[in-house]
Amino acid sequence: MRALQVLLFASTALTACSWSVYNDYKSDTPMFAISNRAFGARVAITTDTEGNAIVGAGGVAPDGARFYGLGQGTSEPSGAPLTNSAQCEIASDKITAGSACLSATTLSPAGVLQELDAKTATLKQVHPGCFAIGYGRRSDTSDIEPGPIVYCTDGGLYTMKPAGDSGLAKAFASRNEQEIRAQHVAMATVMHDGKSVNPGIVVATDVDERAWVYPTIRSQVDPIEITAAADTRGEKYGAAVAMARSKGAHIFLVSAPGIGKVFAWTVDEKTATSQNVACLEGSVGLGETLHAANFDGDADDDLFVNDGGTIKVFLGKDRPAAPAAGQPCAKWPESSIVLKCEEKGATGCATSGFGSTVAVGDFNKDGKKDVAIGAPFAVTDGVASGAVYLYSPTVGGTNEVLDVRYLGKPQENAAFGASVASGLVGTQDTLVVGARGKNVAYVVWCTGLPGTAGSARCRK
Amino acid sequence: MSAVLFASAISLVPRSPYAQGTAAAPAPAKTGTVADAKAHMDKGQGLFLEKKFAEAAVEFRAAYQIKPFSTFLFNEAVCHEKIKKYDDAIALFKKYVEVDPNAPDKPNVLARIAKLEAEKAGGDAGAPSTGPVAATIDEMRSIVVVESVPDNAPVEIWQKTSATAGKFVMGAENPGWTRVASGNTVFTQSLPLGNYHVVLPKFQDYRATETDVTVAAATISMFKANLSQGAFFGVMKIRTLSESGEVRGAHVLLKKEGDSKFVDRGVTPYEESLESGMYSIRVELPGFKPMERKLEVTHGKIDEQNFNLDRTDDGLIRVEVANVDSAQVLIDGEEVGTWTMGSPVEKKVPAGTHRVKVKADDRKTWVADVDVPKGHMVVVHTELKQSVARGSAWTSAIAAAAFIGGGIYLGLQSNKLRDELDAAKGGLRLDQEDPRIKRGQYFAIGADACFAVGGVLALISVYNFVKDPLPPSKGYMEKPRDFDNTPAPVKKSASFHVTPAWSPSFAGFALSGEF
Repeated sequence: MRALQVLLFASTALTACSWSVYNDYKSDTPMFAISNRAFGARVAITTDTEGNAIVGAGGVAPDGARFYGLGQGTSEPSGAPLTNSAQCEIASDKITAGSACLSATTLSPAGVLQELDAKTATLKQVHPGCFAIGYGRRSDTSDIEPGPIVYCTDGGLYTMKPAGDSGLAKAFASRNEQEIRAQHVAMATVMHDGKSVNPGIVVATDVDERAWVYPTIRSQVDPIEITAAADTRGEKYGAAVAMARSKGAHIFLVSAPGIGKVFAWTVDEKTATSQNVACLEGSVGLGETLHAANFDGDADDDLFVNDGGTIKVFLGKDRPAAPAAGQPCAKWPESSIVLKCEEKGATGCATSGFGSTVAVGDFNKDGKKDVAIGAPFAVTDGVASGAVYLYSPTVGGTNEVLDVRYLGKPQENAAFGASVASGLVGTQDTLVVGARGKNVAYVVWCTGLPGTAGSARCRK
Repeated sequence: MSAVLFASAISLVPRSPYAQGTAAAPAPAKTGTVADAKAHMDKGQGLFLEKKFAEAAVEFRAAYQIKPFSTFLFNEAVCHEKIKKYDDAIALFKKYVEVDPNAPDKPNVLARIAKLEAEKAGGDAGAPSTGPVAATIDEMRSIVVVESVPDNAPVEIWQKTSATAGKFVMGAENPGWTRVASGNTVFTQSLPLGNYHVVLPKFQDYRATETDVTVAAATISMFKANLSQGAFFGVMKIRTLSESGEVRGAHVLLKKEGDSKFVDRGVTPYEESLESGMYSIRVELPGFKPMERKLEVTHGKIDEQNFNLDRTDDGLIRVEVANVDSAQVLIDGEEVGTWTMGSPVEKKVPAGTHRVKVKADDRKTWVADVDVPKGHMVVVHTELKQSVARGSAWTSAIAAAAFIGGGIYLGLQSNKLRDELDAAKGGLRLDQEDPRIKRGQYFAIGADACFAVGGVLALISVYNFVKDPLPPSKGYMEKPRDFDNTPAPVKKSASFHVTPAWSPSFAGFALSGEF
């Protein structure tokens, strides 16, 4: 009997003999890991005009950001494997010879860069796809001053004027390197000025509690300051910024969580002036994180605002009319959508860091936008490894958690969900999740949301 | 209680050694016991009754050569008479009356000689009768032998001549009784059929001793008198027989009625004079079932008992080993002892087939099935040959087991990881950099390597176990035989001893040895 058991063990063990079967596990995985030094703190994804999905990942280390193309014309997640497009040449080729990449304190997709051709009166592509990279020291030799840059996948590079007279350069010069890198200072998106499709950039520093807007990256202009009144001092003004399409123009959002308030600004490029057009109000802590994305499908972007560990949604269509000059900002009413952490699939909501980052996309292709919310310290399989909660919110709905993504092999302090981003890969909105503790950005091809397409990657 | 009968016969033998002028009677030439002489007499008697007279005559002569009892001469003469070898018959009858002049039947014998001489003169000498010749046991003479302790005591034999005579009373007149012989012990007398009384009168300080004797045809009646007790001994003879004939050496144990214990009195063939009385006899012989019998010993009688012994249900295996100093012996898987030089291992076993295994260090084990018949001993001889050292085989076997064990462990670990990876994939949580993929792969490679190395080592081990250039151990079995009573000799091996020794003027070591 014992001999039989041994034989059984041996034959069981022998079935594992072929190591080649493990290669199968490497192909068509439901998640794809992109790992590099100091990765995962930031992730971004954009699709260029040639159909390439570009994943950018960066951290707060000198390695800066790197960009990976998901393959031209990739129409669905089971397509060509992700390849490293080796786009970390920002530092070595363009900024300083042989030095490290930028410290990417923030990373934001800027999309296609186009300009109006005066002769043909049509928009002309300048760059297929760009990313704005937040402040930081630009090189080890400090021969380039700090300030935001824009990097485009075709090699285009724009170095913003470091706020010169506005005091931005001074503000950074007064800080040591470590402090500057720790700041959350910049966001960027595409700016429409009627004549061009041109990324504008909003930057802030909560050290000095000031914020500025670069209305264009195409010319070296001074940024326009959007700093609130003196009574916001000491309230962490500039802790988070966002940029949103609203009523045919762009608004720039800067939060002051100390007083639980988010300020929405418009700027006039010609006069280089700004106006605080609306305010989001809540309890202390509101605005620790901000995210703008079009959720409900109308012309205006909607705002996802962290309010003490829950995500409140402010719909773009609810934005109040701007007050008369000299009047206090009008209150932007919140919607009924409140997304909360639930002890489902992952536990430890109270300390999970839920809401630190938000991404919006139709991940299951049901025609309705879903929301992914990072909780980098959530506990899965008994380990504080991090998780991402997925919702498919509706106004007036219960808005329960529908899916929880986490690592197949949870790892203590992996901080999976430290950053999330969503972008089109082919025709599919795809979630990208950063795991800061693992130095990895994950492309999550498949969520467990109802109706998720059953590609080869997603087959169980 | 019965006297033993001796019968003789005469057959027709054409030529007689006596007729040719050879010695009229053979001279005693051989030595032997009365029992030996009796054996010839028994045989002669059987041949006589079968009317093989010539052969019977030879047996009686042989008996005479052992013990010169005149009876044998008479019986041989009768044999010759039957086949009408007159010269031999006449010569032997004459010799009979010559050596035994006091024979009670002397007148009858002399008349018989005259008659034979007449027949011979009648012209039919040398022409054997073709008619049927009668041969009855009554024609044979019997013998009475009287011994005493001490010997040389006077003996008288009285014959009852009148049917109305009363009981013989020593010292009385005893009408109807006639003294037919007298002499000193050892006293031998050939006697015809009849009732007799043997008297040993008062001798020196001993008491007189007497007994009645009825002489039947062709018997030897032996009497031994213990003069100090005034009684005759009885004689007990014991032979032991098996299915294949007489066996010797069985121990005879006797217990006289009233005694509590058996006493070993000797071995078969056994003969002893005993005081009258009831005896329990026990006969024991290894390989045979002991037998017990009760017997009344009567003075003046020879009581011969044959014990037909049955073999015991078990047998004996004796193992002898060569080529080694000591060897372990196992029978039917059970250790029965360690053989050393000069002390074979013996084991009593039930009759049947038994597996005998002999093993010793660095020697090849010898195994064989040994058939042991009932009550027999089988001697097994073995010669253990040098075995091949298996150290390297064991080493590689252990290493092979370790590698294969390691392979199994790694394989199981690999399988466990695959289960985990399958679960992760099922949960849509697997990525291509999952560390378990690489680890599982390493485990699988490790398992394969272990299996490969283990397999090769196992083959090497098997080869090393099987490889054997040396000859196997040998052995053979002797033919089953009766138990050997003699104990196996114990040989003392030589040894040396070194002991400290000291005295006021000396200190050192003393060397002593035993050989």
